[in-house]
Amino acid sequence: VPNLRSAEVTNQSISLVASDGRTFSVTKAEIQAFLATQGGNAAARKAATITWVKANIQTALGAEQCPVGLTTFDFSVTDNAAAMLLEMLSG
Amino acid sequence: MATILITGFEAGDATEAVGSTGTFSVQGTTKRTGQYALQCNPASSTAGNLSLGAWAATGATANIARTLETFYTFYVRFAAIPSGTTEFVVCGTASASPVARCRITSGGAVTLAGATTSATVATLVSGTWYRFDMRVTSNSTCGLAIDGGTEQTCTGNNLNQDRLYLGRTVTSEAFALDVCFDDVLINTTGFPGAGEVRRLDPDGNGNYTGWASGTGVTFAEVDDDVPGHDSDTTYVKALDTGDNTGRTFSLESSASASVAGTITAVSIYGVVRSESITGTSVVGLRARNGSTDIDTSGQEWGTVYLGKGLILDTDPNGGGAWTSGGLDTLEAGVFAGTLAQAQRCTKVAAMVWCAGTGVQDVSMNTIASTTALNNMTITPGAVAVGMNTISPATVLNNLSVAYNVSMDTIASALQLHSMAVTPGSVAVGLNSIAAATSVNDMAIASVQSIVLDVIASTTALHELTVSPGAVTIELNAIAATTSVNNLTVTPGTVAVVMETIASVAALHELTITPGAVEIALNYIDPVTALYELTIPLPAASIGLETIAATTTLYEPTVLYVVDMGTVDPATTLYDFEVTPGAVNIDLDTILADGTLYAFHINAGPGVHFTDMVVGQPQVSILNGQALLSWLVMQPVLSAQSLHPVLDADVDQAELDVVNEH
Repeated sequence: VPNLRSAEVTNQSISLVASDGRTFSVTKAEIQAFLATQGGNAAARKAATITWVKANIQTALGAEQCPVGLTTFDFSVTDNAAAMLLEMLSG
Repeated sequence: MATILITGFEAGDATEAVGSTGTFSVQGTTKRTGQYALQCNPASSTAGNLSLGAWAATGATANIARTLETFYTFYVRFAAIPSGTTEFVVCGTASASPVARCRITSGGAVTLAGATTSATVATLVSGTWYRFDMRVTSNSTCGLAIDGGTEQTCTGNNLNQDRLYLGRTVTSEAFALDVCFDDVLINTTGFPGAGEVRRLDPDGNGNYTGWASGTGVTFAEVDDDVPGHDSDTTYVKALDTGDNTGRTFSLESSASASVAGTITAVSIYGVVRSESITGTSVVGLRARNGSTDIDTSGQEWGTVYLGKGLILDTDPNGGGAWTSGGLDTLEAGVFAGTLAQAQRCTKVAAMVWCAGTGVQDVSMNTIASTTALNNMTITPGAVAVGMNTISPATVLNNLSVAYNVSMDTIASALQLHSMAVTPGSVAVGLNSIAAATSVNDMAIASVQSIVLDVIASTTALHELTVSPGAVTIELNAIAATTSVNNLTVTPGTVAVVMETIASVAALHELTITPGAVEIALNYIDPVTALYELTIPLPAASIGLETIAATTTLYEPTVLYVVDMGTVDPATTLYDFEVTPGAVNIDLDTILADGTLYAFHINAGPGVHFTDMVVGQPQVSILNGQALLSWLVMQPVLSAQSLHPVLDADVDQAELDVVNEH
């Protein structure tokens, strides 16, 4: 796993701590808010949101720590419930 | 034994893992050995795991990619038994399809399940570490034994064993899971038995000194433990051309890393990246021992810091089984076969799987004030007790320890009562003891070392007793108004070093009993008082150097070597008595106005007076000094030789006694 000390993934938020102590967090509400601002069909809006979250992880933790290419993020929001999936690979 | 992976999560992060899903943390709160362990605590209906694989020949993390029998040993501790049946370990494919997986019921019953499910292997309780020995053969017999108990078997699914998933891989189980893992070894030939992983950190430069273009040129660039690594804050760096020398570092000793028992295997660990994606470099890890290098094949790593590993089942130096001595000469580092762009290495270490002692570490950091630690007993073995930053008003009562105790930065107003350290290779370090600390009744048995550095003023050391053995006591930088009462050192090769004793410090009743005792009291400042300093039997040596003005030495009685260099004016030596034996008295440069009262020398013919042979050209006793009651009991000196120095202040009755000889 590229340079993560911890990850907390719930249906409400994601919190990450990189090996050097830098942190990242995003909430379901923030994801929903970004999703609402996107254009296109549902699939396009979701893809844009996933790209946005992954880019924010890279920005917060550093490209040399947790780059987009080693991060898998997915989510679903149904009837006010949420499911978030975050996977990291070692490259 | 062909080891595939060693990890105790001592990297402090997840860089030894192949992947992760959901909630996990490498943390230092709940651990079995070392500094860190893995915690996976996914909420209900969520996944949370870290997946472990192998170190490829290149040094990169890789899938295990086996179907043949593979042996997985790891330790497991549940913070709480889950409220429903859930998986907590999976051996499976890269997409987490299980060959076999461990499951636990709400009653704590553990089974191993693949194509079939085993009988209950054991019933676990929360808060206890258990050793799991799990052997997995794809499409054949798999087995699990816990803490060496009876193995229960099942049939594994016909899938690849790519990874060992620690934690939960599925989201379908509606129960929270909170489980910790530590000390993992995967290999192809058999279980290693009980063991633990210790990390050896760099402590110096090694044989190869390239990669000198980073943030510095010492091991400090790669000894990160923040925890984890510090990314680009500190690193060693190879330039993009011509820097193929490589860089290796010596490692801390096996003893300091608490390596104990049989050493099964060692893993060199490093965190490396390229500075750019232009071109292709070949960079790998290097182990060196003796004159033998073992390298990974290396590859282009890309611009992301990633963990690399190199497994060493045997010592490169000779190829035999690992020993602690072999570990102590091991170097770890990096090399560059081909360089197309600059390379950075931010962390290097060695991970060691050893049998250990079965006694876990105790670490108490940042103990807050008003904490009371009562009746803490640590029994013998490779035990390390670290108590750092103990706050004021903490009380440590009846601390009994058999191994290594380090107490750093003890705040003022602390009380250490009845600390007993029993025999063995024990080191007690009490550093930076703040003012008003009381150390009472500290008794140290043989073959130990006590270092009390930077004892602040108003500290009181009562009844410090050191019994026989090769004991060293160092009391350095004792500040003003410190009181050391009843310091008693009994026979044996005992050395007492008290350096830089500040003014108005009081040392009461310092008694050194027979044996090869050496006392060095250096740089005793003005108005220091040494009461009743008694050294009764041969082979004792006292060095009192640079005794400042107005220092008072009361009633020192000595039998062997007395060396007082540069006794300043106004120093007063009362009742200084030297009794028979091979005595050498050296009083260098006693300045004017120094007063020696009742200086009795009862020594025999073996007495030597250096720089104080009265009446000889090398006498350094200056004019104006008063030698009162100078008594020599043996015919070493003649009255005639005394006359040039003694003046009217000399007590005539005492001189008459001298003249009788």
